[in-house]
Amino acid sequence: MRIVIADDAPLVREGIARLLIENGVEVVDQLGDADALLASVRDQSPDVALVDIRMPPTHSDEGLRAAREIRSRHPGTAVLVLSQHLEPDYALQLVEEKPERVGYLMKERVARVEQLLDAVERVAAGECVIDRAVVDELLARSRRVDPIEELTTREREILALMAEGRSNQGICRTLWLSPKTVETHIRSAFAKLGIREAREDNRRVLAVLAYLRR
Amino acid sequence: VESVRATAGLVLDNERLAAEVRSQLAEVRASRGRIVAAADAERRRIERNLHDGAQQRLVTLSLALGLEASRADTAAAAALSRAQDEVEHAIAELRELARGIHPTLLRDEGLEAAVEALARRTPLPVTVRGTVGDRLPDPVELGAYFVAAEALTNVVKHASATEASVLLERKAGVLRVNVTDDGVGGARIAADSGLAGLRDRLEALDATLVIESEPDEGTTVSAEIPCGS
Repeated sequence: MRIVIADDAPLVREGIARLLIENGVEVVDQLGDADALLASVRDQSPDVALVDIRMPPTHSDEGLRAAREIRSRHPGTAVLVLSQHLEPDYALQLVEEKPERVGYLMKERVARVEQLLDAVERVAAGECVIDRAVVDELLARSRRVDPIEELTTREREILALMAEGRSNQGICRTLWLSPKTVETHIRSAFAKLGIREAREDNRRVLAVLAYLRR
Repeated sequence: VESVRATAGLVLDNERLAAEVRSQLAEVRASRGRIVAAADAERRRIERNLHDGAQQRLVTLSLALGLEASRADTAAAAALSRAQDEVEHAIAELRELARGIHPTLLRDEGLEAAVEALARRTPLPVTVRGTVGDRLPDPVELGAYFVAAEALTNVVKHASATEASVLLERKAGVLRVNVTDDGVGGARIAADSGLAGLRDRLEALDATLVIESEPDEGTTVSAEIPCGS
């Protein structure tokens, strides 16, 4: 696995690089701003770009914009955005258009090696990873009547895991359910959300978006 | 003739004094506006320092702990992981603090997005209606944001409401923010309350803050803020 890291704080960037290198990941480049990042992705074609959301010059959402550009110009590179902001809006902006090979992770997760590796591997494998804390933030809102309200607790739990980008297998493992039970819940959730004929992948994405958008 | 002259002198003096008062008042008003604008710029700076200073350092610290944990034996790794838990709590608390000082979402995405995020975080159903259009000056956006934030906080704390709504409207150079709930009513702007502080901030923008809250008829907090266009 080949990775580039973009973060304008050298200590953070080097810390992440060391943690990854010690765990067998190849860090091919470290950058401090969006332009250098885009050039590096073009030249190195890494599997994954780890991108901090705040970068020079304005330290607002340069990283997010760079991430979008990588996604449209270099679709072979998966993007994992690291963010200080527990704001679902940023995460949705990032994934909404094409929820694959992309992720939004809270910044502090990078220090947990198993969480970082898990997220990196999943986006590289084409999944969409959304930080658990962001999903919780979305879950916490109470809303007017909508189809999501019709879902059972179990169905919602499964959708939340789907929103994090887990496969059916992953959901089975997390909730200790049989594949058959999980499939039944998913079918029932799709039906309640009015999502019918489509490829399985697309239905998952539609269901997750319906769930996240409320 | 003498008395006519004296009267004329008095009238002239009055005119002069009134003009002086008017110009002083305008100066006070302008300086109050500048004070609010300076305080807002300072908020922005503090928010940035929290993110780029303290938070970065804590992430760096956690990275060092994580690196040691990945090399350590199981017992030591568990202890280091607990230390990382503490660091992560600190990061989360700083994040909340920074959001209260100057919400990043407001700066990056504007008033509607920031108010919608507020509504989402409020633990009761809140609908947000209306549009604002183009971005507005910082003090106007912050003022409007704080009205919504403070009013929704009060709804949760005091109103026993089942739902609330926020209306944002921009018309003829005035930005209106209305926050309405269906709770117990009877609210007022108490001297040292958050709303009183907010009213001071709004008055510096020549804005008004009004609260309507008859017992059992819910509460409406409305602010009208001149916004130039």
